[in-house]
Amino acid sequence: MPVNFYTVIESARRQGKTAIGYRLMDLAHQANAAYGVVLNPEKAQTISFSSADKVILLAED
Amino acid sequence: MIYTDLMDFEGDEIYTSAIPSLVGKTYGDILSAFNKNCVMGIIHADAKAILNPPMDTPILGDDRLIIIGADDDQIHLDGKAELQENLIVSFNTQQPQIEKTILLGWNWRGWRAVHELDNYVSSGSELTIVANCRELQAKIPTLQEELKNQKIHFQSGNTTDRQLLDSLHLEEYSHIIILCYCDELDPQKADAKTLITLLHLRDIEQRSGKTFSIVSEMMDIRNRNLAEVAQADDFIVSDKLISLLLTQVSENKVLNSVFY
Repeated sequence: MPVNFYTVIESARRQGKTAIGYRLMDLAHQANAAYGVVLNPEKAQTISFSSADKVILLAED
Repeated sequence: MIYTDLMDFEGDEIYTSAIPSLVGKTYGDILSAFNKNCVMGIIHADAKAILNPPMDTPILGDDRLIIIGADDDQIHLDGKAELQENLIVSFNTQQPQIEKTILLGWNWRGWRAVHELDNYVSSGSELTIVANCRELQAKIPTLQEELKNQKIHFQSGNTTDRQLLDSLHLEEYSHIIILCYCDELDPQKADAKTLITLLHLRDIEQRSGKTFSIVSEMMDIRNRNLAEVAQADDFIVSDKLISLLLTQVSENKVLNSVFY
């Protein structure tokens, strides 16, 4: 289900965390795709995450 | 990867900016205020940076926001929260998990790394250190005393040796960290050893059918490209990070408090 990054940020906010990006694990070994890391994505854009993909968060622990 | 990305001047970097129109709102409110920038925290008038402050922290008149963006003149308040409320699921607060970490190799930064790790893991976690380093063995009891959460197991051995690596049951660990032997060896030799270990680990991983999480240190940025063959999940090139950090701070002194 495609989701926009506003929704990801809101979801993290409810847990007291700041979402700053994500990592697509399919691209984890591709240097030219920054190893799947996307920081500061355009928030209106929608992304289709798989269950292996990760959100990059600032959090206490 | 993430740190390098934020600190080099390609792509997006961290900026600080005072945005008067957001004064009076809370930190949680302003997270969605930008479409192409991402808020990370607040710098108060006393120059103290707080990353991920409590969501109800109010923005004061003399605060600066810590923002990721393409350039310091590219910060626009153009966000509109287009929430897909139906996609937000609340999941149960996770039980603190006991983690098993293994550290292969050793150098002087290892001491600091072990302490930092200890702050992250929950009580009862385990840390196995395997290194070809005689002096370290004698220091392990001291290191153990300084830790709150982890129990250390130490094994002396050659971390490029396949038989040794096979005997470690690496599939049981949640994280594998490779430190280079840069105290004793020159950077190229130290990286060569790290690369051998990495290649063995990838082979062991493929045979076991499990996925390892590996973070590896590299002395020379050029060897990172070589190491991509070995597919580490992440690399830390210490010298490169430090030089990037210095250039970012020289561009904007306030950033110093963000990184520390």
